[in-house]
Amino acid sequence: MTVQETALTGSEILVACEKVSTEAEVTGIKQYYRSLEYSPESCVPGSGERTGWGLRMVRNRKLGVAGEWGMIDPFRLVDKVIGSCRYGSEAVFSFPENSPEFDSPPDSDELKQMTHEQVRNYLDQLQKEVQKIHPLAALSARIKWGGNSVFIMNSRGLSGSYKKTTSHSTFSVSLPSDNGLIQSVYTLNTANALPVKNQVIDMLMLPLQQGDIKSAGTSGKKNIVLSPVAFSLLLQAIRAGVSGKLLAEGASPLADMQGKQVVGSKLTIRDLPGLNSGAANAPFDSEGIPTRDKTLFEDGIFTGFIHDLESAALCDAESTGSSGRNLGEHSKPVCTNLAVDPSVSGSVNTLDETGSGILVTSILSAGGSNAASGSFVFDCGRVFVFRRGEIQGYRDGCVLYGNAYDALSRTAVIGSRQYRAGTDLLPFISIEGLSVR
Amino acid sequence: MQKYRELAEKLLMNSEADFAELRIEQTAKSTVVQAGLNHTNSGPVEQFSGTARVLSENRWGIHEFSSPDQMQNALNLALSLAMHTRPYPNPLPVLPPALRDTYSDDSNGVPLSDVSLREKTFLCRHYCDLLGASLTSGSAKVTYDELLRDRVIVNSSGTSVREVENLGSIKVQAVLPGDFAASEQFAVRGSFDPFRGREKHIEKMSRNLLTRAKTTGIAPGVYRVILDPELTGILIHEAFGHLIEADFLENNPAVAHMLRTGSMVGSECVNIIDDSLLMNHPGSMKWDDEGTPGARTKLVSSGRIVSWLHTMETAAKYNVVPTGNARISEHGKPPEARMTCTYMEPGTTPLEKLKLHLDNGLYLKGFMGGATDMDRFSIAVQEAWVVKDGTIQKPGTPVMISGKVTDVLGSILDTGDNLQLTGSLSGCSRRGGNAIAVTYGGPHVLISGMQVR
Repeated sequence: MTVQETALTGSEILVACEKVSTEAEVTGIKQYYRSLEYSPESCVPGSGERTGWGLRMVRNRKLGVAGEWGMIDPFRLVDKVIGSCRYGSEAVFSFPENSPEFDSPPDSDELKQMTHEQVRNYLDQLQKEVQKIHPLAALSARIKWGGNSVFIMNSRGLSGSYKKTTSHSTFSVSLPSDNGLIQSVYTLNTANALPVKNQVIDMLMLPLQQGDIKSAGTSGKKNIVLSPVAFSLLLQAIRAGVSGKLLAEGASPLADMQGKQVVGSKLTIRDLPGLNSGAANAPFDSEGIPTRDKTLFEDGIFTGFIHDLESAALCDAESTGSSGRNLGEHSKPVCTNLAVDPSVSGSVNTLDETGSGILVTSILSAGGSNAASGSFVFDCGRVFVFRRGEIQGYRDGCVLYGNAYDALSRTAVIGSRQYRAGTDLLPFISIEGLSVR
Repeated sequence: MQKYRELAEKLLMNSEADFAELRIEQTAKSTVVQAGLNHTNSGPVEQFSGTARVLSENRWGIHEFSSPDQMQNALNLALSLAMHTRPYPNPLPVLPPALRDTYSDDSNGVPLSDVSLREKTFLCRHYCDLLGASLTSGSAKVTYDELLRDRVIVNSSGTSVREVENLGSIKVQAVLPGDFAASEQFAVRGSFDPFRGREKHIEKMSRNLLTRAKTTGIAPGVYRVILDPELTGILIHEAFGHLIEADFLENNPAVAHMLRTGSMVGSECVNIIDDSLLMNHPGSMKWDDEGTPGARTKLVSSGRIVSWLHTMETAAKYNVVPTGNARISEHGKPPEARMTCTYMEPGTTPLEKLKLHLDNGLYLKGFMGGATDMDRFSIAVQEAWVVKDGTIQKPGTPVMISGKVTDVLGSILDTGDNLQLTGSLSGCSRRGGNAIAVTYGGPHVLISGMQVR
């Protein structure tokens, strides 16, 4: 889909909306990708492409949405949105009218040109590295890489487009052990070509460490070190809490906290749509508002909410360019690439500085957690007991519980290196006195 | 879809590959949410998508496409990918019988698609008002999700099947101050009628929630417990079912050996079934995503493993018959061996008699979340009731249960006489893939020792 073709179809849809709506907005996306499914028993190369369109419209002051992937029929799409408007929520904002120049995020030529064979060789080597550490370990992976062309235009004159190339990798290693089977999964999304092997090995092998089982002494208030993967899950509460939508609904625990110390003073948390090689990078959000890097918590002080147009209108604020949505869905404020500043000195995994405690490398389930209030109940599966900075052994089964804001206010140490975890860029973090059972 | 199906049949007649397959589908997804006084509806989002899969000299290639006019090109690209891959020792899959057939949910009464958005919106508002009115504080939310799917699978061995599905679910949620939450989800395939007239369920749910707000803490430990049918189903699905998916086992020989046919994984009263032909349930499929006919497969009989879940490819590797469990979580991915409607068979003991075995135990109800780590599981339980001398005494705080699946299945003392199935449109995801619709369930079960935290 060239920009010209996209603009043509987008214009057709907007023309079809002219007589039936006050305002209308069209978004288009074209995705093309290659993929490799890899396991000890098979290797399947894949590729694909798809095109989708979303339409949002205000009619009789009601907001409606619909979308189509594949075969687009502008009139059918308009009909569907008219139906959606009939039972839609009240439109409290106008679509933006100015149309600044947008630059696409920088593309990696290496990623654009990456072949199935290169990916397979990379995974063959990774499998060898994994088996050097554990001869019986079996690596499975899915790597999917490709480009997105994104386009938006609305009836008030805004139009913009960009392209980006990203890769999405999921690695999993399973291993028979003296105490049954263990497995480790690591997912990361970036705009780089293949991930650095050492970092993948670090994250994959950490939960697979062996040792004596420590069955006692893991209940009560403990010092907890969270790996970047586990830390990312704790930050779900932050993602929800900073949302202007939650504020507008009167449900945000951060209401009236702007400018106040909320989390530990060692924590600076940023939302970075312009992160170097970030997978969630974008020059504008899903409503066409320019994005910008934002500091959400500076030295633990909450600096402000993120907004899309609707939450901004309801909260008497400005959009922060944080709208996110899938085609055919309503907008909501979302974080992009979340990053936590690393410490400038000290160890990578914070075990030395923490002394004694429990290292959590993955979280099995978060059932019963409430991201909106910040309360969490994490079943951590296998955790590692450490003393004087050295891992002594592991224990199967451990539940962490409490409130994410309270937990983060007791941040003791931040690791000195950041790792990718999903789209996030996070260090290890050490928290004092977290409740464990 | 009929004309696209015929085009696919024509293209595959001329395929030069050892095996070629086209899977095409049209879907429409919509959501209605009523949260307190706020109402939103999303969609419908309609999608045409397809996957071409080709096997050439033991090498697979796959290409996803999004328009019917790309089918020939997609087959060529998939063949090209297959031919440029270094070979793996893939045997030719066990092919389904040549078959041309169509199944539509329309035959099951008034389909979901014929019910107006107005009625669906009204029903969400009505249930939300009903629940909200009974809560003095806290919030109520009702979500209706719908997936209409028209799916065609055609392959070069003469299979051409088409299945039209109407899947819908209603989720009712309430949250009280102090993070006390309750939710009930109800999913169907086919008719909209089961969504109507659920007022009594909602009234019961709100009464129950208010009772549970006065809870006492439950000390961590090992308890004798009764699981309700939903938790039994979750335990079977999460902790056991994923372990016997043959594409997982082929990559994990140690587990495959442990779970080989004939091995004991549970007590004598444990019988487990996967039945994809329960056509009123969202996990069902008349044909799987490779065109293999759906089937009722006994997985465990009297505590011993009888069968794994297979695709055409894993069936060939293990020299068995495909079980009709090949499912695609997203286009462009190979089919995986996945569960459909999986449940434990009921026994003959009524719940009241099971309770008599609890001198000092717990009756656990409802599922809030869970996961597995190989043969270990962890499940967050919505309601924990303290039972003394066979009588329910008082509600406890929500708990988490965990353990090793074979230990827990082995400690099942008895099974109840009631079979209840629960479904979800997005109830099962694996290895980061998209969630697929499944159904799970069982009877009440009495377990001699369960780790509770």
